[in-house]
Amino acid sequence: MPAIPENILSLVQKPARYCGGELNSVVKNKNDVSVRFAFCFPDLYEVGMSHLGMKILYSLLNNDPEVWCERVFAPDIDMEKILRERKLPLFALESRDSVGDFDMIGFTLQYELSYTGILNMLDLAGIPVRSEDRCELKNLVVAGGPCSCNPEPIADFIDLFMPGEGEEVLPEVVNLYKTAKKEGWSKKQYLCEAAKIKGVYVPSLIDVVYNGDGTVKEFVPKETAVVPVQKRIIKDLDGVFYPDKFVVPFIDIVHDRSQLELMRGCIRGCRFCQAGFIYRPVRDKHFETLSKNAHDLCDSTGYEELSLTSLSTSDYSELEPLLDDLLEWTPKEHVNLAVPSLRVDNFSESLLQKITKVRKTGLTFAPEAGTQRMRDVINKNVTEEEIMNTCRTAFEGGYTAVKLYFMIGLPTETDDDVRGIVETAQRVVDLYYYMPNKPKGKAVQVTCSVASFVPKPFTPFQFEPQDTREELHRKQEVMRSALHSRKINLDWHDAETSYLEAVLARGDRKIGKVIETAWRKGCNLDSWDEHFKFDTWMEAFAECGVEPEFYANRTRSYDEIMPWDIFDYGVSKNFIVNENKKAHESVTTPNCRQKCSGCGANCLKGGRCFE
Amino acid sequence: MNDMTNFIDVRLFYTKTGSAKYISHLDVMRAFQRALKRSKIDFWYTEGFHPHLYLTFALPLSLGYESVAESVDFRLVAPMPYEEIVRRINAVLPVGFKAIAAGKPKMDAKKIRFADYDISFAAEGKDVEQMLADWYRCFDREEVPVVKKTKSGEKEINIRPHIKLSKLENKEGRYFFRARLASGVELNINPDLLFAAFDNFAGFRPEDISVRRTAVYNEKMEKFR
Repeated sequence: MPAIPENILSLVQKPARYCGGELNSVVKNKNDVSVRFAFCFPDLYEVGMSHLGMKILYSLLNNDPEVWCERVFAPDIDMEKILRERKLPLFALESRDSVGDFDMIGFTLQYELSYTGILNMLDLAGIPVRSEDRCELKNLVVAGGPCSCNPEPIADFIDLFMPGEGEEVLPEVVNLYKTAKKEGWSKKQYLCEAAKIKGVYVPSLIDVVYNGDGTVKEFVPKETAVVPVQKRIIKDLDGVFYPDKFVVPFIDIVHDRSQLELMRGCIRGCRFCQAGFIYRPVRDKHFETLSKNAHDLCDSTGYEELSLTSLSTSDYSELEPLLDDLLEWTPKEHVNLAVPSLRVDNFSESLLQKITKVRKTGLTFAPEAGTQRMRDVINKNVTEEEIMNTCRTAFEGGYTAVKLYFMIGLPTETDDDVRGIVETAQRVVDLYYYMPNKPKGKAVQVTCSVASFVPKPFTPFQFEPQDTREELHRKQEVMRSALHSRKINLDWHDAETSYLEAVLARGDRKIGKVIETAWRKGCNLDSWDEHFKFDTWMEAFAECGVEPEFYANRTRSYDEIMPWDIFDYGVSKNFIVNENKKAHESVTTPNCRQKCSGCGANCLKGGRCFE
Repeated sequence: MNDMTNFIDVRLFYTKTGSAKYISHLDVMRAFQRALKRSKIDFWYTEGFHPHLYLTFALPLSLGYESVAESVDFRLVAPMPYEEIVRRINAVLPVGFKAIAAGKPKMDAKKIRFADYDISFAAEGKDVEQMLADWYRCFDREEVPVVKKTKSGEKEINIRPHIKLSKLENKEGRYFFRARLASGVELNINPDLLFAAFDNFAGFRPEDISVRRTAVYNEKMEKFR
């Protein structure tokens, strides 16, 4: 009997979030499998279902006839209320069985503000949130994804982390579980064995000792554990599993299309960008493999749109042959191509022509900073001229809306840099009106989306203090007063969200009790503005005697042991320190393809990144 | 590109049952769009800047209702036997949807006037005799007023002339009846309006309501085909 009576679905908004039965969802007989795996995304269906990593691992796990992987998402407020009132458990979509029935419960950690969601989901399933309160092997809670590069804030809740890429290590961890279950191991025994797998981190097997000032003194491994744990990567992307099917949701989700992963990593090395460091080394997939993946996906899903995804699509070495290949069949099969993540400096005319053949909406670019000096500091190797040229090309191609991404609060930033954001946008507007061949009778619209900088682990800015909230608010005012055009749309994220993100991103194990306290006080779905309760979070910090400024606003010295130094992500600390020094001297570093700067990540691959 | 004048109209009849009832009309449209694309049948696409597969649904079905009398129209570029169309589309439809027949459209969807529904519900905490008595007193009135939401706002209408209800039967704690309701572009009486009217009258709203559309008719009471 499923745990969930059918009729509760008629009591909630968007019941299709919970009813399962989507095309390509996998239903097995639970008696035919030896491991049931609940793949949990700690946010709403629409967000979680858009996530490529989940699609890959869902298909990969279900390829094993002994494993049944099901999907679980955070319920929205209305559904949670019904579940709690009627004492019903959180359930998996495919079987509608309670998450508490599952052997393994896996969370993907995509952003820090989803951490309370993990606790809430475990609790809704009737599972104790703290690892130490779960004594059985059953309900083993595992996690992976980008935020597991600093898992310390949630180390109290998760039994085992898999930093890095999951396609190889996750089946290894699941296979070990099969053995453990068959032979009746204890949880402890399993974890000790799992810690021997390369790329597995078991927090309960490593003690963290702190200095009097609150910084980390040392990591003390116990039993089978070793420090540092090296992240896993896939060496050959052409050989690795890629799904030929996606679950096709009924309701509209954030990214409702076929997605093609062109490459992992990014050649650029922008100093603020965590993805640019934690996904190193850069690995491309060949366009023939991609073209086949794309065709399979479009055939099996019926999606009318195919998106090329990567951190920087125009840096993909075989982009033009790939587009030529895709444009062979996509128009006649009525598939549109979407090409996001283009850089402004190598956006060629022939590329633009290929893209406009299929689609014409707004264009998005990320100069990230408003002055050349600032862009040099962050190593965003883009010049003003390149930004203008790209916009001109776009305008000439018929585009009239341009979206520009910027940040404030970057290290060494002055008010001139902040004003530079608005001034850059203004020059884009002026450029449009000075163009003799601009589209007639159409106004230009330049949208500037301005985020507050959050220093992240494993980046050269991991040592940097975040601007205080007051300072970020002041800088937002600086921008507002510099704005004189109605053609420019200025929007920013609120500084409170970025502040909490900064604390969680670079937090240590002492943050665990704050997260639990905040959740017990009602914090959940924090990434949604309408649910974010900043004051409650601050109360939680105060109650736990933890100062958020210690994590967000403190300058960290180069020799401080960071909570995430428990991991080896391939990039050497030496390199990160040098990059930080160069940032303060406004000196740029060439991209990986121009010249190898010796970050160290290629040792993960066992060779050089580029010949 | 397809030739504007050269296409074949096809009407496909299908059922929507089980948890597919939780798929909204808009989402059903998208699901069909994608399913038909997967079938690799050569469909006719609209011309213009954003060509899309031409699809029209006869009578939208509310979220939460089942139906064994749904239909959708599309266009083929080349002829194909109707059984073949049904077979190929069934191979690609999501769980809960099943194609039952296809054919040349015989009626205009604008001519739809009535639809039949099988409806059941629970009325916990209400005595059976009382429930039956209230039900008949409510619907045997000369006028059954209810507030109906329309595009231009809310409006009170008398639904009595537009509904025909079978006997209300109680079996093992659930109540069952059949309803023939005015449907279509001119006036559409949603089964939910019956319960709204009953609530107005008796101050009681049944729960666990289950609705299944069983047939659709034109004004001559000929089945829509």
